[in-house]
Amino acid sequence: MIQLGIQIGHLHPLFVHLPIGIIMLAFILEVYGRIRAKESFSEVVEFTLLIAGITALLSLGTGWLLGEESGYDEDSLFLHRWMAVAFTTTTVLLYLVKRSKASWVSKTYIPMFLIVLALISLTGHFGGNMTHGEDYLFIKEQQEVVITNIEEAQVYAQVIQPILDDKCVSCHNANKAKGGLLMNNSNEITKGGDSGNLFDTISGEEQSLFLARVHLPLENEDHMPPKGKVQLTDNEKALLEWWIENKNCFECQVNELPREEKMIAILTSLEKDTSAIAVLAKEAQEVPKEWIQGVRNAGISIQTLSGKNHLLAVSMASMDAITANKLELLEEYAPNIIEMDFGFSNFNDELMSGLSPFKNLLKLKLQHTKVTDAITKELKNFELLESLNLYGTAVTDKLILKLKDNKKLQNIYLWKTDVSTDGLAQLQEDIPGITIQQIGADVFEATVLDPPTIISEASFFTDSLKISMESLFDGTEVYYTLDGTVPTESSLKYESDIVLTTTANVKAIAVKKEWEPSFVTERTFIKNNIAYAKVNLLSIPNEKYKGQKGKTLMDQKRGSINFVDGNWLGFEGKHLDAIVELKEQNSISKVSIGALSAPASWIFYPTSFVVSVSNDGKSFKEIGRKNMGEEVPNAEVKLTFFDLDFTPTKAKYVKVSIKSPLKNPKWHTDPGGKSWIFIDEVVLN
Amino acid sequence: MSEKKIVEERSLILNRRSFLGKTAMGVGGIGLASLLGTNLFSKGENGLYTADSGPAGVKGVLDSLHHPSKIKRVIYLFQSGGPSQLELFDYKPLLNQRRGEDLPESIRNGQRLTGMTSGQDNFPLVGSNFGFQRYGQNGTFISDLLPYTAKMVDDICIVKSMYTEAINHDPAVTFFQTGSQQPGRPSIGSWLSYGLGSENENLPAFTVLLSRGSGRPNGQPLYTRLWGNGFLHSLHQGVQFRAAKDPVLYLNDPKGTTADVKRSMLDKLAELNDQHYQESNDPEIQSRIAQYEMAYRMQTSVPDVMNTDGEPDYIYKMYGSDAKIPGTFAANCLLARRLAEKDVRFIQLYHMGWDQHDNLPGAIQKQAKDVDQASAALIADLKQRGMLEDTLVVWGGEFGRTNYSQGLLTDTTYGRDHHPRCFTMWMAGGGIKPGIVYGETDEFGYNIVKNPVHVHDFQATMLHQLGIDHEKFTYKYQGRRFRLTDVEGKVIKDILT
Repeated sequence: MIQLGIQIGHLHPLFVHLPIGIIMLAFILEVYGRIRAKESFSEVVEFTLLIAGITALLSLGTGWLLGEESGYDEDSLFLHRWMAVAFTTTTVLLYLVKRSKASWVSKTYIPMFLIVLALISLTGHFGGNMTHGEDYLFIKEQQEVVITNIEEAQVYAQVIQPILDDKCVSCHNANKAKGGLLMNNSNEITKGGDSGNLFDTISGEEQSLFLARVHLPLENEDHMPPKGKVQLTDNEKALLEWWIENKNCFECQVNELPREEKMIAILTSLEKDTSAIAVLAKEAQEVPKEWIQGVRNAGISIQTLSGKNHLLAVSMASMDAITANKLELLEEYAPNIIEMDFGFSNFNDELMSGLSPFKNLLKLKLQHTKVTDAITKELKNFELLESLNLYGTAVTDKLILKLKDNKKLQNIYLWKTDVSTDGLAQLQEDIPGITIQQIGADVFEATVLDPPTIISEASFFTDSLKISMESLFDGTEVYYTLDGTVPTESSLKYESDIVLTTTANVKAIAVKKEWEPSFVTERTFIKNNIAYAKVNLLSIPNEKYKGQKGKTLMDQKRGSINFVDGNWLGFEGKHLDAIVELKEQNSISKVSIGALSAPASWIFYPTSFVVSVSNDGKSFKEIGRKNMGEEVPNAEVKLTFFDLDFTPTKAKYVKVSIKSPLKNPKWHTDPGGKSWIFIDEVVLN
Repeated sequence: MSEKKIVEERSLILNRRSFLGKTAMGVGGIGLASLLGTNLFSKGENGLYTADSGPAGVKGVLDSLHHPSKIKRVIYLFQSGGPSQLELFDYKPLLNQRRGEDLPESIRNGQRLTGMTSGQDNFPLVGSNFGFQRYGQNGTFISDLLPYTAKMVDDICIVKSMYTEAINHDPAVTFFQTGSQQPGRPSIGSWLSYGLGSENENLPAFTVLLSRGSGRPNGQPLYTRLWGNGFLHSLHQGVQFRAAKDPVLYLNDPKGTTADVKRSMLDKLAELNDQHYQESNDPEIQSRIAQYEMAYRMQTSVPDVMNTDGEPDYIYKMYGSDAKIPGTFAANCLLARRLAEKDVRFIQLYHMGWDQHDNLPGAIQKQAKDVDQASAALIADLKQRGMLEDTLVVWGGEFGRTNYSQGLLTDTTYGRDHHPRCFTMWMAGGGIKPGIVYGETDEFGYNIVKNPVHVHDFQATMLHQLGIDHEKFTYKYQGRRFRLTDVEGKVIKDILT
C-alpha cells in the first residue's frame, strides 16, 4: 500500500510546477486587467485560480505520498510539506474570495494574493533545495581543487572527493541522505548506508558494493548515479577503481600508490595549468582582426597564439626603423602581448621606455641590439618575465646584479656579452630557478683542422709537375714531405707551388693556432715518360665495365672507389692479358698496375701478375712476376697500385698477364661464386 | 594520375568556389557549415593561393593555430640510409657476449627480411665494435663514435623506440616525409608551407640541403619528390639550395639584364598570366605568378644567406672545419642556422650514406664523423642565441639496422641489414623534454618493449609542437580529406614539457 502510495508520489514532479505557473498567470492577468480596466478579465482570473487550486491539491497529495519515502532530511521535509499545506489552503480561499461579492471580503483579495505568492515562492524554494541540494541556487564560492603537481596530490581529498562532490553528494548529503548514505566526507563514507559498508565485498561478486553499484547496467534500478542523473565518466570510474583497489586510502599521496601507465595518463590529465601563459590567456580579451591587420600593415609581425588563445606574440626582429610610434601602435592591446622580439634591430635604450605598458611580457628578445645597462630600470616592470635574451649586447654585471626582482626568470641568454663568470654565479644565486643558457667553453675546444688539399692537374706526368696546396682557413700553415715520411711542424713549410721532377709521395698537414693539427693527407704523383702506340686487350672486359677498352689502361686516369665511373675495366671470372705496344723501343725497369677491391661487390685484388717483353710482338720473354696472394677476410672498398721492379730491359712490346682469383674466397658470403677483377691503369717506367 | 584527371579535379574546386562566391546559396552553405562547427567552406577549403594575400610571401591556409605553438620552425637532420642504432645509441652488451650465435627465432618471430639477407643460412648476432660510456646528468649511454653529441646529451631527447612499416629505403623515407609509403603525397615541409605560410617574404618556407656521407659515398640517391608538394600547390614544394655557384638553379638573370628591365618584364608577364587565369581559372597560374615574384626577391636574399664569409672562426671551431667546405653536412648545419635566423619554417637536411650493409665498422666511423660535431654544434649554437626554445631539431633516419650480421662477420668487420622494428632518433628544442631517453628495446635490440613510437606519432608530435592538430589539418583531394598522419598517429605527450 505504502509502495503504491510512493509510486503515485513519483508523479509529484509532474504536478508540482503547474500551480506555480498558473498562480503567476492569474496574478499577471489580474494586474493587466486592472490597468486596462477590462472587466471581462475578472472572470478569466477566477477560472485560472480554480485551476490553480485543483493543481495545488494534486501537488500536495502526490507530494505527501512522496514524502513517505525515506532519505529526505526531516527538517526540510517538514517545512516543505506544511508550507505546501498552507499554500494550498490559501489558494483555495483566494478562489472563494474572488467569487465572493461581499465588499469586505473583496478588500482582503489583494493582500491574500500577495500571501499566496509568498507561500508559493517559499514552498518551491524548499522543494528545490531538497531535490537539487542546498547549494544549488546560491552556489557557494566553491573551493576549486587545483592540482599543479599530481605526484604530490592527496588521493582522497584532491582526487576522489571532488568526483563525489560533483556526481554523488547532491543525493547523498545531510539534507537528502538517499539510501541512508552520506558521501560528503570521509567519516560518512566509511559508515556506509542502508545497504551496508561501501567497501565490503558483496557476496558472489568480486568487487565492493561501491563499485558494484557503479558497474551495474544503466537500466538497473540500483545503478549509481541513477539513470537521468549526470553519469560518472570513464576516467572518473577508473580513478575510483584505482582508489578502492588500493584500500581506499584516505591519507595517501598519489605517488605513494602504484600506478600503471594508463593511470598515470588519467592522473596527469587532472593537473591544472597554472603557468603564467595559461593564467593570462584566461583574462585576455579577444583582439579584432582589423586591429591585427592594421599592425601588420605597419610592417610588424604579430600572431595570436591560437584560435582560442588571444594572447599575442610580436616580432620586429631585423627591422631597422623601429620608432616609439610603432610601439604605441601596440598599446591598445598591451595586456595581450606576452612576447616581443627585437633581435638584430635598431632597438635601443631610448625605445625601452616605450615598453612600459607591456606589463605581461613573458619573453623579451633584445639580442644583438644597442641596449646597455641603462635598461635595468625598465626591466623591473616585467614582473612575469620568464625569458630574456641579451645575447650579443653590451650589458654587463651591473644589469645582471639588478635582476633579482625578476623572480620568474627561467631562461637568460648572455652569450657574447660583457657579463663576467662571477656575475653569472651571482645571478644563479639570486634567482635559483634560472637557467643561464650557455655552452661550456670546453665543449668545442679540441676541434681538428681539415687537412690541406693537394692540387695538381694530373696524377701522372712525363717531365715535371706543378702542385699546390690549399687550406680552408686564413692563418693556416701547411707542412709537407716528399719522401713518404710523416710531416710535422719541423718539415718543409709550404710557401708557393712545388715542382716535382720524379715520382713522389706527397704528404701534408695543416696547423693553426687554437686548433688541433690536421690529419695527414697524401697523394702520389707518378712520372711516366714512356710513350705507347696502342694497347691490345687479349681478354674481353665485361660489357658494363669496358671503359675505352685498352686505352683506359694507359690513359693516366685513376678510377675512383665507384667502379662504374668509366675508368675501370672489369673482368668477371677471368684473367686479364694485355699487350702494350710502345712507340719506340725503351728501357723498362718497373711495371705498376692499379686495382680495386670491394669484396661486398664481389671484386677482389688480382692474386698475381706477370710481365713479359718482346721486340717483335710475337715471342715474349717473362722478365718478372709478382705474387699478391689471396685477400684476408675484409669488406672494405679500396684501391691500390701493385709494383714490380726488375732489371732494366729494352722492349718494344710489354705484355702483362693479371691473374684473377676467379672465384670468391671461402670466407666470402658466396664462396665459390664468380669473382671480379677491376684494373684501371698499367704504368711503365 | 593522368593529367586530364588533374585538370578535372581542379575544375571541380573552382566550380565550387565560384559557386560559393557568386550565389546566395553559397552564403547559406557557409552559414550552415559554421553552424555545424565545421570549417568546410571557409576561405576555399583547400586554401587556394589568392592574390589578396599580397606580396608577403605565401599566406598559410590556417587562420589561426589550433593551440599555442611551442616552436616556430623545424630543422630536420635526416640521416638517409638507416643509421645503425646499435653502434650509436642503443647499447646492447648481450650482443657482444653472444657474438656469432644465431638470432633466436623467438626474438625474430617471423619478422620479414629484405631480399638481401633472407637467403642467409644463419643470422649471427653481432654487437657494436665501438664502446659506450655514460654521459650527462642521467648517465645516458652514448657511443664513442659520437663524442660531441655525448657532450650535448642533456639537451636532447633520445627516442629509442621508433618503428616503421617500410623495410626498403625509398618507401621508408617517403613514409617519414609524407606519411605514406607510396609516392604522391606532400612532404612535411610542404604541409607546413601550405598551412602556416612563409614568415619571410623573401625566402621559401621550405628549404632543402643535401650532403653525401663519407661512409658510403655512392649510396642511394634521393629524389626531388621527397620534398615535393604532392597534391598541394606547387608553390609549397621544397626549394633545394645547392652547394655550388648558383645555390638555387635558374635564379640569376641573363647577362645584360638590369633590375628595371627585369621588373617591367615581370609586371607585363604577370598581366598576361592574370589574363590567362581569368579565362582558365587554373590556380597553378597564380602559383606561377607568385613563384616569379619569389624568385625575383630570392635573387638578393639567397646569396645573402649562403654567403658565410662573415661567420667568425669560433663558429667554425664549433661546427668543425668541414663547415668551410660547401656541400658537407657541417656546412649545411651552419646554413640551417642561418636560414632559421631568417625565419624559414622548415629546413630539411639530408645526409646520405648510412646504408652500411657491409664493412659497417669502417663506414660508420667516417659517417659519424661527418655528422657528430656539426649536429651538436647546431644545438649549441641555437641554444646560445636563444633560438633553441622555439626551434625543433630532429635527427634520425628512415629505419634501423639488424642486430645480426649481414655478410662477412670477422673480428673487425660485419654488416647490418635494414631493420624497421626498432631504431633511434633524437629531438631537441622547443617543448621537448631535454636530457631524457624515451622507449626501450629488448636486450637483443630487436623488438620494442616499452613506449613504441610510430612514424605517424612522430609526425603528429611535430605538428603538435607547431600548434597544429594533426587530425584537423587536412586537404581534400580526389573526394577524400588527406592528412599528413593519414588516419593514425598520436602525440607523444610523455616527451613534451
